[in-house]
Amino acid sequence: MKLRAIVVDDEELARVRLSALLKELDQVEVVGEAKNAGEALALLPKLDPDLLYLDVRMPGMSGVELARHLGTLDDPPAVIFTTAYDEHAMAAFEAEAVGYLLKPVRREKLAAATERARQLTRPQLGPSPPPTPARTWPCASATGCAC
Amino acid sequence: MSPVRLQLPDFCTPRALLAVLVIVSLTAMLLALSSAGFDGLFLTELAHGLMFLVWVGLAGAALLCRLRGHIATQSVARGSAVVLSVLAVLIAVLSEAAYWVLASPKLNPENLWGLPPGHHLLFVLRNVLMGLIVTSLALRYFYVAQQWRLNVESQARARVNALQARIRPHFLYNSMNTIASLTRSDPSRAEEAVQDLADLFRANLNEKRSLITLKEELEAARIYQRIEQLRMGERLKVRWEVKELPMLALVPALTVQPLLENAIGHGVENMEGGGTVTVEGTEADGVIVLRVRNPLPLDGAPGRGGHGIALDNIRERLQLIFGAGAQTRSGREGDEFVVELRFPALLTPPEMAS
Repeated sequence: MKLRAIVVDDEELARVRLSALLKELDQVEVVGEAKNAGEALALLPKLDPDLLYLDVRMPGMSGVELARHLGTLDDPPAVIFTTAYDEHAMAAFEAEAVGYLLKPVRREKLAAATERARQLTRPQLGPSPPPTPARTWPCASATGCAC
Repeated sequence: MSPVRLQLPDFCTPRALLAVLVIVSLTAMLLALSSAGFDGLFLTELAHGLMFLVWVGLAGAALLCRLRGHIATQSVARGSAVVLSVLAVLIAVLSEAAYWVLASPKLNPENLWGLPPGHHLLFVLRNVLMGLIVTSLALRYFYVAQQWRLNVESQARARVNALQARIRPHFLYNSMNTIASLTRSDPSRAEEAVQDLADLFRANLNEKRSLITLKEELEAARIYQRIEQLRMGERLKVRWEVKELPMLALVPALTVQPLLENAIGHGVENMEGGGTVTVEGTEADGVIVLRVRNPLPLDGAPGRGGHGIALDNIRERLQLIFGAGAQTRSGREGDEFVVELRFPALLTPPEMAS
């Protein structure tokens, strides 16, 4: 099963290119595009994506702000940032992104980041899902945790 | 710009002390030559003079070493007055001491310096006057050297600023991304974009000519707009009202284009619906007025600092070339941010303003 992804970028040509590159990948399917954070938020309930490719710099709410907001949701989609200039990396990592890609994005790096996202999020979607009862570490229970 | 201060050399350093000793020796030699010429007395006169002047020089250096911090906070005139007064008092005190030693029959029974009796006051006055003349010359020298250094520094700074004014990396990477996208969807537009980018970088990396015609600068700004247009599409509109401008007038390279870049980066780009940047230019009585206006995002422009840096930079370069003839202004006007440049319309390069 493919990851369902939304591409968020204020520049049309950037969205077009990223979607075209993603079409060539097996792990992922682009189910929607948004040109700002507001549009992306509106699409979330409708499309229930697993993954967002987020431009860092956008008018209105920035990509980093959107990612922080997503972090407060239940079962949020994974985030891979895309940016033209490497000045937001720290903020992006603090927002717990699975990947950080520099534009123009390279196909191999896009594939690697997407694969990482597939392994880290919703592992039940993977080809060899570990059975659910395998989660046996003590802190998984809700009844008091010392660590 | 802060008012000019007198910057004395640091007299606490060995290097400055050596310079003081050289000045003192040359002054002593001048005095000995003028009073004794080349006859037998020259060396005696030189020794006497040196003995006195070395005291003046070293004590003066010690005082100025202590007073340097205070003098650096004064205007040039006040600082010079302080230096001259301090040295006048010092020379007066040392002359008085020297006089007592020389005039004392006990310490100087043979009246070695041939000091005529009854010339006490004249002796002190003469020394103070000579000291003041030498000090004034030295001060003048320090001042001129300082002015020269400041001038060199400001030219170097202008060069650095011109380098910094160049296209920002952000723009380059974004453009590359746009071109990468167009390569698939619209190869002929990708080709145009590559040509535009090449032209823009040629204009930006041109080291040789700091002054170009207004026509060339506006062309560079238009190319910049074309590239940004690809990226931002309908969101970016630029209105050009520049027909009145004398297109052959000279401007520093990168005067209009960085302002357009700012207007887009700090204004239109941060607005979801986009907006219109207006570039307008007029000329009246030989003065060119260029205005770049952009709408402000509602939430107060993020990163307004960038506006400041590019503007300081343009202001400094305009001043270096046109001197007081150049004026820059910027600020909010209603819901727009406006930058205004005024400078003389010149067809030939002016002398560098100092």
